[in-house]
Amino acid sequence: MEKSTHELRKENNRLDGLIKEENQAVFTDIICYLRGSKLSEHDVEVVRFDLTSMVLEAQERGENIGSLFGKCRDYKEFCDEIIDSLPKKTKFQAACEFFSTFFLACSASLLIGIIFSAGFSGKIIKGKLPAASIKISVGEGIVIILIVVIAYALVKLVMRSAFESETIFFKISTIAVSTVASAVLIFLPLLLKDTLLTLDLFVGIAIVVLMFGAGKTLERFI
Amino acid sequence: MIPSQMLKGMLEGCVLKIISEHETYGYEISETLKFYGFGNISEGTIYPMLLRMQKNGLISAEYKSSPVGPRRKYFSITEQGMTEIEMFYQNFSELESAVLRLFERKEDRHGEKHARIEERE
Repeated sequence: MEKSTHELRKENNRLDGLIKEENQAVFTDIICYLRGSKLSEHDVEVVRFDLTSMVLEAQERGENIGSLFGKCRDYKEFCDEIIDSLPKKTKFQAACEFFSTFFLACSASLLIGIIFSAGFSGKIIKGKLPAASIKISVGEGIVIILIVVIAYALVKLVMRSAFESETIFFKISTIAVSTVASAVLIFLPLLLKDTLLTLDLFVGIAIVVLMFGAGKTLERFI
Repeated sequence: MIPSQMLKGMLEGCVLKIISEHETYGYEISETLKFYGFGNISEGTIYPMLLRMQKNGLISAEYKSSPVGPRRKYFSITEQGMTEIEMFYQNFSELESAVLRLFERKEDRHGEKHARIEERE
C-alpha cells in the first residue's frame, strides 16, 4: 500500500541523518528546489526518498553524490527534468497548500500577538492575571499579516534560488530589505496604536486553535 | 565515447530493452549500459527518464527491500513498453540502413567518378 505524504516525510527525515556531510549541501539544494516547484508535496517526498536511496547506496560503494550525476553536473537541469517528468499539482492541491500555510502562519502570528500584548505579558510581568480581553491595535494587526506575507515570500524566494550563487548585489539587497522590514515591523505598532479589535482572551485562543486545526487538516490534501 | 547528442534519442529504447530482460533498478541499468559500450551513463541521468517512462505507462515500479540501505525501486516492463521496444527497434533499423546506404553510396559515387576520369584519359 502506498505510504501517505506524512509517513514518507517522516521516513525521509530519518534517512536524512544517514547522508554524509559532504553530500548534504547538494542534496539539500536539490530538495529545496523541488519543493519550490509545481510538484505536489507527495511527489516531492517520493522523489526525495528515491534520491536518498541512491545517495545512500552510492555512499556504501564509496562514492559521493557527484558520481550519481556524471561529469556534467547541472543539478538545476536534473531537477527541471524531474519536474517535467511528473504531473503538476492540481489547482485543488495548490489551494490547499496556500491556505494550509496561511492558516498555520496566522495562528502562530496571532498567538505571538496575544502573548506579547500588553493585556497578556504586560500583566504577567507585573505579577497580575492576564486581562480577560486583548486589544489588537491597527499596527499590530498589519504586522501579523505582514509577517505571514513576508515569511511566505521569503521561503518561495529561497526555494527558487537554490542553485543560484549569492552575488554581492543579492547580499546587499537581502540586508537592505531585512533592515527595512524589521524597522516596519518594530515601529508600525508604535505608530498605529488605535485599537483595531478587542478580543476576548479565550476567543482569541480558540481562533488560534481553530486556524491551526484548519491548517493541519488542509495539509492532508497536499 | 559516443557523443551525448547522438545518444539522446537512443537511450530510452535501450533502457526499455534492459528492463524487458528482467526486473532491475537504476544503478544496475547504468552498469548494464556501461557493459554494452554506451559509456558512463550515470544513475542521475537515467532517473528522470525512468520517471517519465513510468508516467507514460511503459514501465511499472515496485519498492523492495535492499541489502544495502533503504528500500530500492525496481522497474518492470509493461505490455505498452514491449510495443514501444518493437517500434524503437524498427525505427532504429530503418535509420541504420539509411545511414549505411548513404555512406556506401558516397564511396560508389567516388569510385564511378574515378572510372569516368580514367576512360577520358
